[in-house]
Amino acid sequence: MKRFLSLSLLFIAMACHQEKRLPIMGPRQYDVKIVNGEEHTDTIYTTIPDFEFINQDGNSFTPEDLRGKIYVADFFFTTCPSICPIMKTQMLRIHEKYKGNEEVHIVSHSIDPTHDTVEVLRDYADRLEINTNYWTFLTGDMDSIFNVAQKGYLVSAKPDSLAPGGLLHSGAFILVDKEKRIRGYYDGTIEKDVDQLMKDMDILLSEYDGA
Amino acid sequence: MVLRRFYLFLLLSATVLIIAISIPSCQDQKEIKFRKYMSIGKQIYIQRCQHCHGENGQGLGKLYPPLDSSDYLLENRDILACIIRNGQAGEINVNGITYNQVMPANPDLIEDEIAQICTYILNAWSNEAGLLEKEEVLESLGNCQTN
Repeated sequence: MKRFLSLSLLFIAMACHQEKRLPIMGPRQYDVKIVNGEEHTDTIYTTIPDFEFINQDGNSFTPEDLRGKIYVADFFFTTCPSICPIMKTQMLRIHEKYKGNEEVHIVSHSIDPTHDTVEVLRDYADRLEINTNYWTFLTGDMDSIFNVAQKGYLVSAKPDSLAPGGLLHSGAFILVDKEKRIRGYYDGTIEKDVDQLMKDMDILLSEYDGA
Repeated sequence: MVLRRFYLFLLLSATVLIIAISIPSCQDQKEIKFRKYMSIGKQIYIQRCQHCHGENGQGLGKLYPPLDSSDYLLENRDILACIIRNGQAGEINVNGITYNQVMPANPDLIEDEIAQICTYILNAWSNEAGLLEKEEVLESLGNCQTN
């Protein structure tokens, strides 16, 4: 009996020790190849497509700048009166925890490039008192921004005359891994969701430990 | 004898009850109004103001100004109603820091609600500027500068 108990305890301990992994989000495709008469299936995950935007310093910013980093992305605009201030308050918590970590980055896409010029974004970042080495604000061509939001990050972002500030956008924080795959969506307006995001970021970072 | 004791007990209970009931009505009517304004004002604050100005009136960085211990707020009591109803744009200086964000208008808020928010932000956290009545709101709104 004693032996059974200790065995089952060991089993439970092993089960618990199994490293937790985050799911990989988005539709996937399967590439079936015949190698030596055997069928091999490769799973092709949805990844964030290439983009080129302009950061708060007026420099070009592409996925190359995120190489070797996991990152959190969101969509906002500086004059947004509704959910953006809460999203930024929550994003600041993430920034406070991970600034200085070269494996982590935050990318905030403005969806109002007409108003949110490089100067406006620079001023916004300064006023938030953040370190832009770890948190980048991006602007660019409106169609490209909406395209990357909808087709890359799979979130909504579009002009809407009924929305506060005239633009409708998701309040999601999107967690992206080093392979540009989406690993989680979190409500950037809810503190508990952002707590979970930070836990998941640690799990995701641990996937790369020793790799 | 037992009956007499019972009557005495009844009388005593009645006296205690009457005193208990009359205590609140002895309270200053203004104090009751103040508490009501603080309570409703807080609810409206959560819906309309807290996103930017924060749960504790702390503001957000140099983006959105604080309301707690804000010299601008306390020195501009007479135009608060205008700012809440019509919004505000352009630079303002709060506690030595220049802020320059657009504050949206709240044209749908009625005068009572504006008085309630004003009372709340003037007395929440470490602010202690007292009740702001509807009459004061009406007077302020009559003198709003159009921007």
